[in-house]
Amino acid sequence: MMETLILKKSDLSAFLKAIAEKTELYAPLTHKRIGQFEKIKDNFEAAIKELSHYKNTKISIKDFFFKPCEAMFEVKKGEQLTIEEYPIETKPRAFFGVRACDAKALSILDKVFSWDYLDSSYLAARERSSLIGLGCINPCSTCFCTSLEIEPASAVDVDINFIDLGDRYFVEVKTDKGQNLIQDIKLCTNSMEEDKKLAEQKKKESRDKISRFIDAKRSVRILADNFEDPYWEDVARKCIDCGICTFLCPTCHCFDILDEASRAFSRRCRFYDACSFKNFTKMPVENPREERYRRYRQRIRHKYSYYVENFGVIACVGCGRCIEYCPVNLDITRTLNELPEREAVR
Amino acid sequence: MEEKEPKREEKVEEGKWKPNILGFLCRWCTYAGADLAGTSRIKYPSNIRIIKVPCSGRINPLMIFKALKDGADGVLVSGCHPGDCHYNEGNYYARRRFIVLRKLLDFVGMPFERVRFSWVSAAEGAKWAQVVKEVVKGVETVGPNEMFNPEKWLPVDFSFSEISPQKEYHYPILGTVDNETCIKQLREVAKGLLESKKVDYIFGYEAGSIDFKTTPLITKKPSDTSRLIINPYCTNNLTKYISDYPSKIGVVVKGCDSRSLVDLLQENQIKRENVVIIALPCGGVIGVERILEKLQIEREDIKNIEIKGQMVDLTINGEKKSLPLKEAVMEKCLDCQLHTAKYADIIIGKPITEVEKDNFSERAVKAFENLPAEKRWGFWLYEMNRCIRCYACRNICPACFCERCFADCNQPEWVSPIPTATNNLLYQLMRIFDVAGRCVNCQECQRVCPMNIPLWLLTTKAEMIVKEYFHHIPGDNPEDIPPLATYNKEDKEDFIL
Repeated sequence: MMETLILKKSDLSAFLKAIAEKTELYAPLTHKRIGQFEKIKDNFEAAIKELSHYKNTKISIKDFFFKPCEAMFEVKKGEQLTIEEYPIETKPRAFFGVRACDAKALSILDKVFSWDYLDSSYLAARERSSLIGLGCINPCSTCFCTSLEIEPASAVDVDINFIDLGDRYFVEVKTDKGQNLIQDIKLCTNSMEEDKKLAEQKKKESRDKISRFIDAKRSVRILADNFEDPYWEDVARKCIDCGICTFLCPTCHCFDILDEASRAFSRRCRFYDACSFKNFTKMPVENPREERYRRYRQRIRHKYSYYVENFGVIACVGCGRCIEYCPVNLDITRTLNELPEREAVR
Repeated sequence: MEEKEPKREEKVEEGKWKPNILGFLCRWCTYAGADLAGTSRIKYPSNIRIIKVPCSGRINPLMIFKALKDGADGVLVSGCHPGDCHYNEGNYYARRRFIVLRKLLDFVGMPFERVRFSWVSAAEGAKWAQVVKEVVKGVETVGPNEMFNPEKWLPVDFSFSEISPQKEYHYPILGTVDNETCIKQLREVAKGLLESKKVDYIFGYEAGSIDFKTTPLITKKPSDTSRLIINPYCTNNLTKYISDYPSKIGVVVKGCDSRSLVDLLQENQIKRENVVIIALPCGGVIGVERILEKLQIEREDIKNIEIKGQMVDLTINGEKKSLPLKEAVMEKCLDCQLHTAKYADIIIGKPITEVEKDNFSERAVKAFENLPAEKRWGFWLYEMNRCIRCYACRNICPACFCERCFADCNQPEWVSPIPTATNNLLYQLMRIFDVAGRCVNCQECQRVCPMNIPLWLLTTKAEMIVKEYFHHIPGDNPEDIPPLATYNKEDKEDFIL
């Protein structure tokens, strides 16, 4: 079932307020030139202004599901040591303004977090969240989502999607969750045939604005068999082993676990780790990827080869964050497009 | 301020608080002095717990940070009087480190009373008692240590917008003078070096994959040198890669980068004969981040940047806008001390010799220092709360070449890798401490920080400290010894009891 509606732009503020009354609402805001989702309580004007021009948040929405730092349990001193798990939040919340790439990224993460082990924290965060997408009208020059079969203006993996039609939004209600969220908000009207046509046109316009491409199929094919290719050494030379690309990536999901202790108690936390770090997975013995190129290769292959083998989907959504913020402009699209066509050297 | 930090369980009842002070005492002098105080039945406050160390030179700021983070209200470090060290000179080195540490702590707003230093000899039982009394009194005036409890600190925002460059900027921007000839010459030189096997690798710049960026070109192949370019966006400091390659290298450097290279020579990280210095005379590079900060826009909004004389014409979302050059170059360019590498083997184009500093960064530091200490601490916690611990600042830094970084140590773990404001601040303070005296203020850390944390304030402060106290200019002369690897018997020590 997919219902399509129309919301006047002038009603957006009322719409957001109505959502915020029902549930916690998050929308993009920018502070110190860093865009991220923030709780919207009384700053609706700022949120609407931001929604009118933001491209995408620097901090991806992943941070609200798989958190940069998460305390899991606490050990308390007393007569006996007691372990207290931190309660898992279940209060419903909604995100407004999710881009198609980030929404897809969550559906990709779902696979790994509900694979052999059900990650209760991540899954609970997913369960309690409704995603309201806002289609990209002006994608960035770094975006290459269309190469990964993502429609920039119309997210698939959301509960409701908004497309800007100028003076109004074309609202696609995609799931029951979305339906439940807006059913008693009496601001939307039914869409006409011309709205649908215009929406299709906007989708096409947005697709056409994407200027960066990769050949995903070719990349997957070559990567399946180029582990020993000397290409990796050449391409990874300028990498500085920092964690910007992985931490800002909406699909990277490696973490480390650490016990933090103070005099009164200790707690176990998990926090982001990055395969580009020299000390990645050093806790059991050593990092098996001592050389820089092995680490860089791991990042690319994890996304375009191993994840495909395990889950049948590429773990990259073409959001372009790693391209925009890389300190040395090591561009994943360049790396993939220049993958040499040759038999792996064994 | 943040939700991530654990709540402190130990609540202090009103009026019952007594300072907890941790003392790091040199075993030869102060520890013996404390013993003497005991055997002489001299009374002094019992608030101090003592850790015996072989020498005050053993003290690493990490120990002090960890003590304060884990709840000590104050820390006292005490060793032999200068000249009396059991190991002859350990405390002279220690003194230099204490100076840098003390000044950095002052800068970020750590109260003076919480971290104290003293010299107490084995014969000075009475002085030891006096020192402890004074330290305890000091800590009592500043109260319980809430420095690392984020709930106690309000976010402080400090705007640097009032600090603007004073002098007109008149240097030719990199890649704007006779550039085609220069690029041609650069490519020929690089190709020649590789073909004649004088070098194994060339480090240069090639066109970036997005607007207003270049990307490092690190290559062994002579044919790749045709991709080398020079333009106003050649920002990366390529000397960063040198310590990764134990071979002969031809490296393209701007003036500022060459100072990092000199620094690496001072530290024996490279041999002079293994590096061919290809100097680009540089009158400044365009600070895209600075423009974005000033106009509060994103890089994607800028369609075109054109340098016209002393103005920079921008096209932003279809609108034209002009900025004076002094507002558009990188912050570091305003205070450039060296436009053309001093020890160059090959110079591409006409050297720029004139130097006129604006002192922009120093003025910013001084303006910031006018804030009261608690505001400074609040400011840094607020800024550091954003840090995601990607370690780009460390990894891009040419002066950071340790095989194993303190931040990666987890047995014991000195600074927690968990990205909370206080952990992040300690990490950054320690990093700045470690590069002080070697940091040439190339501000690469600032440029790459994805969270836009004003790290240039800290690097500038470190540069100011070593200049004021040790008369050292980092990256100036390959024969210099880095200031924290040496000492002067006359070093100023106005804060040591």
